[in-house]
Amino acid sequence: MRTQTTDLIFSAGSLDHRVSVIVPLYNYEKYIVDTLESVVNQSWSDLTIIVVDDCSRDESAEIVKNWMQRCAASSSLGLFLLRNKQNVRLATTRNTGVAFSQSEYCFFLDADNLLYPRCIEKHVEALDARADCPAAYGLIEVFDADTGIIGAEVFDRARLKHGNYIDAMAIVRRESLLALGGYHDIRHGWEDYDLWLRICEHDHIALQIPEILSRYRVHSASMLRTTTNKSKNIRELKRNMTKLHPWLDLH
Amino acid sequence: MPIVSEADMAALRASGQFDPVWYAEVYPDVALLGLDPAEHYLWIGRRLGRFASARARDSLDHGLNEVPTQLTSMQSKRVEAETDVFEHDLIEQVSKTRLFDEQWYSQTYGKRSSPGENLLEEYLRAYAHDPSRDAGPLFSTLYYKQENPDVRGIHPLVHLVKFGLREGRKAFSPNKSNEFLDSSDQNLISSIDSLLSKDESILVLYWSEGNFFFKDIAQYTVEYLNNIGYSAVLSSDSEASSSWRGAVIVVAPHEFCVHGPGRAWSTDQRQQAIYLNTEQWHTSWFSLSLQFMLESNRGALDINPSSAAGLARLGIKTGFVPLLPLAGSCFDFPSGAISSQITQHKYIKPLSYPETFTARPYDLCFLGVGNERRNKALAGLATTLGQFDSFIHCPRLSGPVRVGNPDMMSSSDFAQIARNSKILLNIHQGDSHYLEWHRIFLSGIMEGCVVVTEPCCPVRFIESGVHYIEASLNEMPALLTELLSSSQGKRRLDEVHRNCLSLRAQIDSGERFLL
Repeated sequence: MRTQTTDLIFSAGSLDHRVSVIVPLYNYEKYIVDTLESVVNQSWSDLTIIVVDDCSRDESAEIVKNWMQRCAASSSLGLFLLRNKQNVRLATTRNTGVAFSQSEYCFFLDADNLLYPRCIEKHVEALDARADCPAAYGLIEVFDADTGIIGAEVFDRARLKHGNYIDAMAIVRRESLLALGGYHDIRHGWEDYDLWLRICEHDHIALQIPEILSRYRVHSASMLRTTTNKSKNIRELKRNMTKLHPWLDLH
Repeated sequence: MPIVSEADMAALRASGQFDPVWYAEVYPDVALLGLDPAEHYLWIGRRLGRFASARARDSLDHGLNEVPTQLTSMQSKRVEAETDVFEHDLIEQVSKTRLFDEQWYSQTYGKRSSPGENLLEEYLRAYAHDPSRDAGPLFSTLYYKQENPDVRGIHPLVHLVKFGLREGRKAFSPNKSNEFLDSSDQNLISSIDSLLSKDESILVLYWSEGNFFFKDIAQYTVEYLNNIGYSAVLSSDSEASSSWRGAVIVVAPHEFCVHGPGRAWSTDQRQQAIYLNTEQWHTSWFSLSLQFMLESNRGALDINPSSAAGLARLGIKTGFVPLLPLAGSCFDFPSGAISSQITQHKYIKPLSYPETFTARPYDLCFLGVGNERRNKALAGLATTLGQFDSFIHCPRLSGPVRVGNPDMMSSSDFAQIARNSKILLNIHQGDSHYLEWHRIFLSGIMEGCVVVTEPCCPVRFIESGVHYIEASLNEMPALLTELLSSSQGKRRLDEVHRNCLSLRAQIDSGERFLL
């Protein structure tokens, strides 16, 4: 699993919690506090927050450090802020958080998204009930510049063959993720799609939780709206993904 | 002296749309009568539905010449003269649909029929200068044009009748459909006895490759009819119908007759069948179904009472088949495990089937095919839903939903979830207020679930506020919170739940619907 060397900017509490919420951070100073607050407000308290800053050029890291300092005074959560030695993009940044985590389950939360209060509890309940599943995901409310629901379809190889419809905001068994080699760095994105495809190839599924548990922000600065969605990049992505997974049919 | 004015004849000749040589050649009686071709055309030819030129005939002209839009430099009187060209058959064809409501038209636009011109012709002709006029309480001329912008040079209603239904064009606006169904008298619904005889055998057909749910409805229709004294059998084999001596019921004609074996049926076969409609009026599926129901000599059935009344109002003899949890029928679901197809892919809370309503493990459930409208509505409710234990099933699906699709939820699985939910949420598929009987009545009320729904077209068998609760999407968050959290709300929930149980008991005893 590819990771990045980091500096530990802040730490409080323990890594010894059942769930780690891993937050890759890059230039989201405007949203990161709301995102972290939604984690603190979870009904599930046996958790560690690991924020991995991917060399943000704004004040994101400083804001998180200050927030963690304030939070540590009144919280029993594990709170950790790491900073990559160099900018390595999303997949490797997530992996770095996974490598640092000591939890049974890792939940991936992008720095501009939000959790509903029972999100982690419900994800843990689902994975606890299904030892055969390496991952689980809930329905997600799309908000801000758009409105809707994603993740409403179950994990299905035949459907994934034609494109991704499951967001990265999901819980994954750390052990399974390590066995899969973590996220693979895919030029222009789609590292989450690649992970789902590798789960398919191992004849496993991610379990769907039929509840709306989190919020996905759509805004002009989102990576999905910029890097990944440029048509030239999409063509290249489709080519590359089909090379990696020849059974795909991405037309 | 000519029968029509020289000026009108000159205008027609100058229009470039009339070919006197071609006209005289094709219609030799013109010369026999000693009339000028233009004179004949203006006097009687147009009323006979004759074509003004070879071009008009070849383009079929759909009963309305291109002339009106091309004679813009002429006086409106002359435009009118040219627009007044309708084949007799076409007028009859349009009339038969009952989409043109003479009384409504007369009252709305203050028009009266005059000798030689009925109001339908007047409506069609008026389109050239007033395209906003509607044909009746159901058909909106402008809506059809807006939904089908490719419709040009032809009156929208004429297009619908000649092409639109067959092509599955969306014909009716949700608002007009709402008003039409709301105001249709449900006493117009025919009894099953008036549609079918107990002396004849009944063949119920469905398309084997179609939506799984229509097979369920076909199966249920057989069971329901047999239950009330008829003799019905189920088949997906169209061959069986050709030699069948008895009544034939086609379930979901928009599938069976459009994609399935009914495509190969003769006119006679189509006319002899009874069609069971399953679709909402604002959809293209309904348009496809309507063409067959209009063609039938025997009538139609519907699974929704207000829809059945609406069809009856259109002159189609229509009966209502209530989907009920009849003992021993395919909608009688024993409590049991959810199918492995669902549990394999979804996390389901342990279902306890508690005696006590308040102990049901899910606070609320929603089950329906996802689309933009529903997904936006659910997103708007997400903050509220997040506070409770919910089961939300809203996958986007394309094409018929068949057994084996991992996102398919069978009626049995739906019943198990509903039986373990306090509230069943209903969000309409579109802007129509059509009451989804299957979801609201069969899966909700009959399972003792309190249905909270967007406002619905009323149906006479159940009552809003008694058997279900209506609220707009804006009102829903506060209502759901109140029902699930406050003591007053819980009392209301319990009261509606008890009303549902009482109705279920009446149905189980045969006291309702089966008389």
